[in-house]
Amino acid sequence: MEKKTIRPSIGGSGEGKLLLHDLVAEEILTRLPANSLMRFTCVCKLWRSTILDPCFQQVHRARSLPSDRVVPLRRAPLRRVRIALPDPCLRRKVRPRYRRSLTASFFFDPAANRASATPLLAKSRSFFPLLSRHLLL
Amino acid sequence: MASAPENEKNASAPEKKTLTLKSMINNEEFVVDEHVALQSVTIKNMVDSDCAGDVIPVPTISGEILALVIEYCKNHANPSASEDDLKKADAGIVAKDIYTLIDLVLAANFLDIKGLLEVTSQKIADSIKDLPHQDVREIFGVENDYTPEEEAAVRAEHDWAFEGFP
Repeated sequence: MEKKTIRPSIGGSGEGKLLLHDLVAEEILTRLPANSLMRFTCVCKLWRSTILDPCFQQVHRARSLPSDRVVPLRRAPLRRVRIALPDPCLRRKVRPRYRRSLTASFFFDPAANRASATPLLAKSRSFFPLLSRHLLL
Repeated sequence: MASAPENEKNASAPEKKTLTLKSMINNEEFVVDEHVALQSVTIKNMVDSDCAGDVIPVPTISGEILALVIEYCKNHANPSASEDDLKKADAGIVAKDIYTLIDLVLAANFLDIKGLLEVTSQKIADSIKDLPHQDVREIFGVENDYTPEEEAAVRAEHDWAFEGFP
């Protein structure tokens, strides 16, 4: 098949490019599995910053759970993760040998990469599916 | 059947209203039932606010793509279609090459047809997920703004994802 050249609405002016980028990012990239996403960080700088953006990852996670794993965030500091544990009672119920996997689940959680404590608490309800899954193990 | 304006109001039952959509790229016209066209939120807003004339011009969408969009809208406007039928029909509509799909996703976005946007995006994601990133760059017309060193560094960050890829 003859390869079409990219149309003006896509590759031409800066504005069209951004429009397509928004669409691609919002609708298409969030539907990709994690390993494809990590490869596509090499496409260009804009794709990389989009893919590694915590908000993007949150949308991606919402779309891919429960069938897919969440993209691991390489830069997420583990220490911050402990603050993310929403409820002290829950922490007590977890036997020590499970703590590790529990922390890991927060490590994987893009929301845990947020800087301030307030959004973490506000989002804490969304942590429960993850928590209960580990407690069942 | 292209541009015949339909003004038959002789029958007793209320006549189905039609709209004409015209692709501004190759001037192709499509006459569709109003309730079919109204699945596009963009067209619905135009009709609701009375800015739609007899012919609705659709810029930036070719006739070929507009035909696909209308096919989708017709399928989904049919109240007797089962979910399975719709799924099959949708799969048929998006069984196209990647460049057509990109046009289709832009059209679905412009016309604001949520369902079509979703199935097309999913299909695009499925078709690019196993491609090397160089091909993805070419498909979307993205310019590589990394230096070779930078690209190697980014690649090293997620080395595990590149197994089996150039």
